[in-house]
Order: sequence, then C-alpha cells, then structure tokens
Amino acid sequence: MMNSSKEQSLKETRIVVLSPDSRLTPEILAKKVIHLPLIVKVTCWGLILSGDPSIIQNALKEICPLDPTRIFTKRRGYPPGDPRICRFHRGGGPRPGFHYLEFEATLLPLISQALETPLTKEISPPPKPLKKKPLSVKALRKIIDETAK
Amino acid sequence: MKIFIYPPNSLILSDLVERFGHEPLVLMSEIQERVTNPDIDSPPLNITEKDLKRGLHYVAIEAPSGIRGRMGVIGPLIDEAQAAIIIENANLNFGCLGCARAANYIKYLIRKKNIPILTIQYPTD
Repeated sequence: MMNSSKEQSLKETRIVVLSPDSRLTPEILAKKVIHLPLIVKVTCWGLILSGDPSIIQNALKEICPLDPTRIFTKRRGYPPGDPRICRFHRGGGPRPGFHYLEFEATLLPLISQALETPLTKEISPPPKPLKKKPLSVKALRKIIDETAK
Repeated sequence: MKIFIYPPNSLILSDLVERFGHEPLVLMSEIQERVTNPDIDSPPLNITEKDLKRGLHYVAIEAPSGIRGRMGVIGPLIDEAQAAIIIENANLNFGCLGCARAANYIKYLIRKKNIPILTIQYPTD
C-alpha cells in the first residue's frame, strides 16, 4: 500500500477536455494514446490520463495537433477512479469539481474562436494613473486662510 | 516563468498559460501532493494540522479555519509566483473558491509581492 502510494505520488493525472464545438470525440482521442503505458479513461467531455509526466507530455503531443484550438488540458489532483471522489463509490451524483468543469466547458467555444482569430492590431497599454502629490504646506495654509475669512 | 492564476483551478487559464510556454501554478498540483501522499491523516481531502499551521504564515490565528486551510494550500503557490493573472468577479468563482475573504486575501498577497500582474474583469457582454 505504501509503495503504491509513493508510486502514485510520482505520477501525474491530467484531463483533456474537448470543446463542445469540436468535431472530434473522446474515443478518437483515446485511440491515439491507447498504445502508451498510461491509464486512459474516456469520459463524456474528453479523457483522463494518468501516468509518468513525460509519457503524458508525449500523449499530448499526439492528441493536441488533431484540433489544437479545441483541445484543452489541465492537471487533476485525484487519480482516475479514486474511491474518494469516484461516482461509482459515492453512489452517483456529480463528482466534486464537475460543476466547475462543466461551467468552463461552456466557455470553450469562445476561447477556441479567440485562439483561431487572434487580434492582429496591437493594443496600447492603459495610461498610467497620475501619482497624487501630497498637499503642499503653502496650499494648505491658503485653504485655511480662505475658510477662516 | 511561473505564473499564478486566479481562479487557481481554472481549466482555461491553466491551458492558456501552458499553451504559451509558461508554467501555471495551479491548485491541482498541491491537491495531488495531499491526496496521493502515503501519510493520509484526514481523508478525503487530507488537509492536515500541518496545512493549518502553514496557513498561519499568511493569516492571523483569529482567522476562520477555512481561510487558514485555504491559505495553507494556496499560500505556497503565491510565494513561488513570478507573475500573476487574476480574473476579477469571475462567474466561475464557486465551490472551493467561493470564500470571499480568502479570495481577497489571496489578491492582497499577490499585489503585495510586487510582481507583474494581469488583472482582467470577467466579461459580461
């Protein structure tokens, strides 16, 4: 148990999310990486890959060129099928973190569009706010004199 | 460059930072260390006393334990950051990131660090 946990802590888990407007399916992505020594789990929104970080990078190099602007990845804390968050073990319902992923997945087509048509013109940086100078003694004295009249 | 992102578990920010050749400092890497560590003290999230003590580096003892716990996990990421991207008023700030005081404190610590910060308002139209 101890050794397997140590091995697990050296591994990386990464999720691959397909933008809803992509023509690919999670199964097509899985076929590309199934030959690699990784745990590959197919889900409705993409894949979960778990294994050696360098092999995961190789897997991403194979997957991402298929649709570079519509495939998104991020790391995940829990390994796939972890009983602490797995729906099967928890008796159904969404797993922790799913609502967040679901929300972000709805925004992915906009991000894809932005990546495909980057803004060509340069935007000048916003003007720096003027530094406020402290009120000089003379000015303060003038204000006091005026109000005292 | 190590870039802290806020929200720290965002798929979009994390992907974009990596896509353009930088290393995102994300919550998931911290969580992975805790959930796959052999010394699991308090499953399922494995937030231990050590994390709460570490949280004291960032907040006072009077702060609620939720903030201390969050800072114990997110604080070291801020220490490592060389730049930061912050999305203000993001609609996606819910769940574990729904703590407004912890959010304010995270942003305050980043601004105090004097590193380049890209602050973007969440688009509403």
